Amino acid sequence: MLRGTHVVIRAQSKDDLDLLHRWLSDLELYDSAWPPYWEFPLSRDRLAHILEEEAKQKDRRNYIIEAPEGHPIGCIFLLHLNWPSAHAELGIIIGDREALGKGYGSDAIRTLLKFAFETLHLHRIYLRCGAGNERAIRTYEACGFRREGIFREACWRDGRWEDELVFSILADEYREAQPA
Amino acid sequence: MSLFSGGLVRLRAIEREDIPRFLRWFNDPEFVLLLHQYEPLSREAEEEWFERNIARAPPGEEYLFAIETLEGGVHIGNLGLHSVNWIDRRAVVGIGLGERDYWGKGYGTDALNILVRFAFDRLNLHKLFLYVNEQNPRAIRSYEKAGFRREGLYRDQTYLYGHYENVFMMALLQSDWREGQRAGAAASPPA
Repeated sequence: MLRGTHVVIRAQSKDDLDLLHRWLSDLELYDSAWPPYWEFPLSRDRLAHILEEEAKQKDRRNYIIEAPEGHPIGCIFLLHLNWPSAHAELGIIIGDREALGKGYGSDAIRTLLKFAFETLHLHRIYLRCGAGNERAIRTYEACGFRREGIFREACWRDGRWEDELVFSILADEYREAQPA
Repeated sequence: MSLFSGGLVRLRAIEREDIPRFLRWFNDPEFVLLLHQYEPLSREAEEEWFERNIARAPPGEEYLFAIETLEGGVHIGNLGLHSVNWIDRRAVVGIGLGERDYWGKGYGTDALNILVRFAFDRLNLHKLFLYVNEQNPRAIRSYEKAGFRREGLYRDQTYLYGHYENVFMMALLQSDWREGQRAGAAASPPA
C-alpha cells in the first residue's frame, strides 16, 4: 500500500472486477482512456478474462486508487516495465465521477512516481495521451511531466484522426523537484 | 573483439545439444563439489533444468551462456548471471569449467571478463557478487584478476570433502570496474 497526501494506492485484485466493470461501462470515461480501446460495451466475463491475462504479465502493475474515505475511485498502472533500461509507461483512469476535480488524480500520480523512482529504482516514466485531452495534459504537467513528442494522427476516433502526445519525467528531474 | 568474445573464448547461447556434455561435467565429482551440486545428476534432471532455465526461462531473471574457445570452438563450460535483482541492480555470478584440460590457463578469467562487461555495459547492473570456497584458490585468483574483492567471510558455510569449509563472498561494483578499465587503458601502450 502506498500512501499519498490524500489517496491510497493498493494492489488490484479479482475482487475489484465489478467495480472496474462499472467504471469501464461509462462510455465517456472509457473514451478518455488512452490509447483508445474499441471493445465497448465490455461484458463482465470478458473483462474478467482481460484482468486475468494482465495479472500474468510480468511487465505490468495494476493498482487501485482509494479516496481518503477509503472507497476506490480509479486505477493507476505501470506498463511495459523494462528493467535493463529502467523505464515504464504510466496510465491512470479515475472511474468515480464524484472524485474528479479534487486533485486526487495528481496525488495518485505523484505517489506512484515516488514509488517508481525511489522504490522500484526506475530511471524514466512516460505516458501517452490524446492531444485533445486538456484536463489530462494540465494534470501531467503539474506533476512534472514534460511534453517530449507528438505522434501525428496516431489514433482514429469517431470520424477523425487524433494526435497522440508523449510526456516523460526522469528520475533526476523528479528528485530536483522535491522540496529539500 | 565483440561484446561476447574475449582473447581466448566467446560466449554463446546454451543449446539442447549441449545436454550430454553437461551430464558428463556434472557427474565429475570434483567439478560438482565446487559448484555446491552434491549429488549425481540424471539425464532427466538435466533436461528438466534445460526446459525450466533455458527454453522456458522467464525473461530478465538469469543470463546463462556457454563458454566456447575461439580456437577450435570447444565448449568448455558455462557461466552466467543468476538471481538478477533489478531494483538493487545486482546479480550473482556463477561459472563452471567442465573441461579439466582448460583449467588454470586463463580461459575462465577471459570468460568472466566478458560476463562482467556484459553485466555492466549492457545491463547496467550496479554490483556483481559470488560465493567461493576458501579452499578454491584457483577460482579466487581468477575472480581477483577480474576485479572482484573479498567482502565477507562465512565460517563453516559448506560441508565438503568430509569437513566444514569457510566461504568467501566476493563482489565488484560497476564504479570500481570502470575505474579499473580507465586505469588499464591508460597503462597499456598505444596500439
